[in-house]
Parts: sequence; C-alpha cells; structure tokens
Amino acid sequence: MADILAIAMFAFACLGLMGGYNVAFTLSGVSLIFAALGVATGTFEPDFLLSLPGRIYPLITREILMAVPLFVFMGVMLEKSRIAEDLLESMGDLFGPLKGGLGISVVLVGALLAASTGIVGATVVTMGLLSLPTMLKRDYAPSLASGSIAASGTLGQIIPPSIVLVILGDQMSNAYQEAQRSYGLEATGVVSVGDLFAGALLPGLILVALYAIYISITAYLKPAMAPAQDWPEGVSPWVFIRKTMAAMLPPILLIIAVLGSILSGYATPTRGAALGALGAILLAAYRIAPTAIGRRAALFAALGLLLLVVIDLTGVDMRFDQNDWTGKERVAVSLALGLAGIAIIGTGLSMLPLIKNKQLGDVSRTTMHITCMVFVILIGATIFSLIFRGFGGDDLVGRLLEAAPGGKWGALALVMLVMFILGFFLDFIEITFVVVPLVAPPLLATGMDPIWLGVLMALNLQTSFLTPPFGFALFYLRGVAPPEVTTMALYRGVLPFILIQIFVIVLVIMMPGIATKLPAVMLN
Amino acid sequence: MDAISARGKQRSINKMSAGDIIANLGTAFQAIGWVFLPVLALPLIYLLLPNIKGLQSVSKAIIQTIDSLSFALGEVTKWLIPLLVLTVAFTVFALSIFGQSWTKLFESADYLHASVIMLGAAATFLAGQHVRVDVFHTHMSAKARALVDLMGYFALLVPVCLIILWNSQSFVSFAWRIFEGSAESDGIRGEYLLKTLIPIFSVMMILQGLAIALRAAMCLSGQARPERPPHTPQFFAPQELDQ
Repeated sequence: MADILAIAMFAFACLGLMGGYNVAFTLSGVSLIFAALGVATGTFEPDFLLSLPGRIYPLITREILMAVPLFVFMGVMLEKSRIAEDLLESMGDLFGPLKGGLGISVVLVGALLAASTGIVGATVVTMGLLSLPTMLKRDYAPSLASGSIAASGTLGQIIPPSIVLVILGDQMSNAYQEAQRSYGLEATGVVSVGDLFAGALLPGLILVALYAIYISITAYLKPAMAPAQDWPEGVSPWVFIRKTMAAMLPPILLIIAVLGSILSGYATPTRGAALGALGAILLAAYRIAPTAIGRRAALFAALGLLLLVVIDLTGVDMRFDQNDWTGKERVAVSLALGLAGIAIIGTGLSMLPLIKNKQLGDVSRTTMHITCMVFVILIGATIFSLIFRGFGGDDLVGRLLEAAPGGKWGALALVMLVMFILGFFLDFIEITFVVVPLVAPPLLATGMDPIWLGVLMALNLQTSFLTPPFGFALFYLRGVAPPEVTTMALYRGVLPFILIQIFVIVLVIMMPGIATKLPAVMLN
Repeated sequence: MDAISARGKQRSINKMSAGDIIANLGTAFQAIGWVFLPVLALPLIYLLLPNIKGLQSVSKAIIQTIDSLSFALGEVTKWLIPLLVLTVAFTVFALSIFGQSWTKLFESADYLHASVIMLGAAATFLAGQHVRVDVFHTHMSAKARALVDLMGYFALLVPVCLIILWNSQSFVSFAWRIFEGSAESDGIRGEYLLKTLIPIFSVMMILQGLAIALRAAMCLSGQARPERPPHTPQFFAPQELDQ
C-alpha cells in the first residue's frame, strides 16, 4: 500500500506540475495530499511532519548554499555591466575574417559569461537577444546561428563556477554520506562542491572546444552557412585586438581569480563567490559608473585588492596574533593595511554612484528573486522528499535500481533516462533537489565515483535542455528569435550539438579520468 | 526606593516570567491566526458574489495592503544582498591575510542569507518569479491561468504553509524560551530570531497568495484587477511582464 501511494505521489506530482502552478508548492502540496491519504489508510505517521521546521532551518543557514546568492549576484552584476555586449561585438570583429569566427565568438562568450548565473532560461534569452540578430545580419544560416546560441547558453551549467554545480555538489555530498551510512558503502571521505567544480572543468572545456571545432568545420565545408567578414579597409587589426583584450581581460581575470581561489583550496566556494561578487561590483562600477570618481575609485579598489593578494602570496606572515615580528613583516603588514584601507574606501566610493542610479538596487532585486525562487523550491522539494521517505519511497527506489537489468550500469542508464525525460519539463534545480537525494545513494553504494556521477548528471541534463521538441533552451530561444528563424531550423541547428553532447557523455563514461583526475590532483 | 534596586527587581520579575510571557505571546498569535483564518475564504466568497460593491472595495483594499507590504519588505530585504557580499568578502580578507576572525561577523552572514530567503520570498511571489512549468501554461487563456492559481492556492499553497506554521510552533517557542544563541560562545545570541523567520515566511506566503487568489477570483468574474507595485507582472493578462 505504501509503495503504491509513493509511486502515485510521484506520478501525480509530475502531472500536477503540468498545470503550471508554482513548482515548489505543487511538489510539496501534492505530497501533503498524499500524506493525508496515508494517514487515513494508516500507512503514514503524521508525527513525521513534526520535523519539517527542523529540516527547513538547515537549508537556510547552510554555509555552502550561501554561495548561491553570491554567485547569482556576480552573474547579474556582470550582465548589467554589459560586458557580454562589448565582448561579442569586439570578438566578432576580431574573428570576423575567420570562417565561422562570429559563431566561435558566441561559444566563447557563452562559456565565459554564462558561467555564473547558470539559470538556463536567463542565459539563453540574453545570448539570443544579443547575438542572434548580429549573426543573421552577417548572413549566418539560421540553423547554425540558433543552434550554437542554444548550445552555448546551456554551457553555463557545466562550466564552473555555476550555481547548479553548487547545488548538485551539495546534494552529492549529502548522498555520499547517506551511501556510507545507510547503504554500507565502505569508502570513507567526503565530496565537496569544490571537487565537483574541478571535476566539471575539463568536460566543460572539451565541450567548448568541440563546439568551436564543429563550427569551423561547418564554415570550411559550407562557407555560405558561416561567411567570413573582412576587417574594414584601413583599420589596423591591432585596434580589434586591443578592443577585445580590453573587453575580455577583466571578466577573464575575475573568473580565473574566483575559480583559482576555490580550486586551489584558498577559499571555500562561498568565499570565492563573495570575492567574485565584490569583483563584479568593482568591474561594473568601472564600466558603467556615471562619474569619473566612481570609475577611478573602482580601479583603485581593484588594484588595492590585487596587490593585497600578491603580498599575501609571497608568503609573508601578516597575522596580527604573532610574537615574532620581523622588520620585513612589519613593513608588509603596514603596506597591506594601507592597501586594505584603499580597497575599502574605493569600494565604498564606487558603490555610491551604482546606488544612486539604481543599478545596485535592480541587481539586488533580481538576485533576491532568483535566490528566493531557488530556495523555495528547495523547501518544497524537501517536504516532498520527507513524505516520500515517510512512505518508504527511498527503499522502493533502491529496490527498483537493484532490480534494473544489467546491474549497476543498467541502474545508471535507467537513472540517466529518467533525468533526461524530467529535463524536458523541469529545470536543473528541481531535478537536483528531488531526484538526486533518492537515486544517488544507491548508485554510489555500488562504488561509483561521486564526482564522476555528478558530472555525468550535469552533462545529461544539459543535453536534455537542448533536445527537441521539449528542451528548455529551445523554448526560451524560440521566444526571442525573429520570425525568419523557423522552429525546424532551430531543431536542425541543435542536432549536431546534441551529438557532440552525447559524444562527451560517452567519453566521460569510457574515460572517467576526465572528470576525476583534476579533483584528485587538487586534493593533494 | 532607589532606581537601581527597582531595576533589579524588574529584572528578576522578567527572568521569572519570561517563559510565561512567551507562552502567552504564542497563544495570542495562535488566537489571531484562528480569527483570521476565515479571511482566507474571501476569494471563494468573491467568486460566488462578485457584484457586491462592499466586497469589491474590501477585496481591493486587502490586495493593495498585502501587495505594498510584500513589496516594501522585498525592497528593504534586497539591500541585505550587497551587505552579504561585503560581509563575506571582508571576512575572507581579514581571515586569510591578517588571520583575524570575529565569530559574530562570520555568523552575521548566516543571518543576512536566511533573512534574504525568508523575507524576500513573498516579494518574489508578487513579482511572479517563482518558476512554473510553462509547457502548457503559456498557451492557456487568462481565465484558465486564474483558475490554476486559485485552485493551487487552496489545494497546495495554503495547506503547505499551514503545516509548516503549525509544526514550527514547538520548534520556535522552544528557541524563544531559552533565547537560543549560537553554539559558539562568542557567537550571536539570536538563533531564536533566525528560527522565527520560518513562521514569518509561511504567513507572508499565505498573505501574498491570498492577494493573488483574490485577483484570480476577480479575473474569473470578468472584472479588472487593482493597480500593482512596480516590477510586478499584470496577473492573468495575455502578456506576462510589462516593465
């Protein structure tokens, strides 16, 4: 009876979601209705729900999840500072004479800037509005143009730092402990969000490279699909190189700084995210502050922080609580304090104009909306999982996976298929919150590597978002595409990218080292 | 009687009855909750009697009050995010370069983060930013969407929020009774406030949901919906966001 109710609950939740009410409350509300049914039939203990607040509370206070608002803030701030626009324009000019150059620029910009927000819809819409008209104006085939935009828009999920990897990493980490605790997995150790970042880096970069290679090959074989465009007469190429560098260097430095600090273990993902968010504020102030003071203050603050880190990296001991001060350390610490002062004052001065012209307020509001959306889903999914467990649903899933034909590979294939299909109508966040805690512990108990599994799931979902006719990315791109881009052209355009995705998934399955080597190196 | 001993006496009285006061406060809140519970039926009553002038103006007033409350709360809450960025960034530099860490500052990030989520959720709801599955939703008529929101409110949102609210009574009152603080000795002594965010979240979501459900009832009765704060969608209109 409990099994039937658990299965029915899952099915009805999926059906209910189709109705289009708030996802978080559909998940939790449907499960609550089934809990009531369970109480009526004596298969569910109402006391089970007493622990609800005790389960919500850790969600809103967990340190690692604080990385979500910080990364979202960084992403929204970067978007507001119109970096993507400048980058696309200057890179498109620079790579113009290259066959397929503009397409490659789109992929690179997508990889670079989509990295932080990681919400499929937002990224695809931004990229579509920015680059689709330009590509069409330069006579790119609508199919190639829309395909490469949809694909690059989803790159933001797999390339760290992205919030979906934060969430997936957090869930994986819980699942790994659960596997050790309840499923008798012999392995010890933990998996962290930083590990997943490291694991996803190489597959993500391989994807970017393959996308770019595909576009160049197409451009060479069929030049009409991605025509080259010469530099304007009399303009030195150095102008374009300088412009591209000016547009590209700051965000690249920022992302390298954030990723570097996290992967090197210098900072936790949350702290790295805060540094990234601070950097994004300074970058935005430098680019869009209406007053020269604001721009200069941002520049000085950024330089101050940079020098501060440089001094620290030289290995001078600048801790206040030490008894063996050397002369060198005294000089260093005074210098560092001075720089910190400059950074604090500079940050303050550069934020003022952003506050005044409402940009900081707008960015904060958008960040709040995305953050609340994510966490309310997290709360809804937690209630769903709690009740599902109350029915013994986790045992049921475990038994189902055990009974899957083909042992652990069969179970993996089954999970991947289910996630792929769920990806047609649910976003990454919902799937991660609902499915991963259920399926990951039994899978991990068979000895699979948690990082490898996480990377596979991320790749799988990313592919699902690209797959016609339901793929999320396609829906959003369709919404902003001009009418001359037909839906069929869009479908035709993404097909090669889906093949690339499948190729990379198979590659990661065949050679797990692609996902697991880097985290192992980082750990030492 | 001099001032010092009077204050001392006051304090001992407070200490003795702090638990009682809080228990009474809890009972009072619960009573308020029971009294206001019937108000939640307003959208249904409206649906039955859409043409009574008094009901119309009361509903409009309720919608506008709730909207401006959520909106104002959101506009204040959003500023906690830049504050969170600066706080965490500051602690990172202070710790990794100068070896300084203040537990209170470190923990204040938790407070900011939790407050953003729990207090901003209603404003997010008002702004229509909680995700829906829009495979079918985008193709629905305005009335069908209104029906989805009305049914969803009563069948899904209200039960969930009430269950959270009901079950958080003992959770929150226990924290208040001991004025629960951080596990660290030099941490912030305000964990009970942090836990109180959970019932506040439930109440705000029920209220904001009520405003939207009332709009849905108006839409289903074929009437115009009241003005809305900036940055919020026109509910149940053909076009979702007009900013």
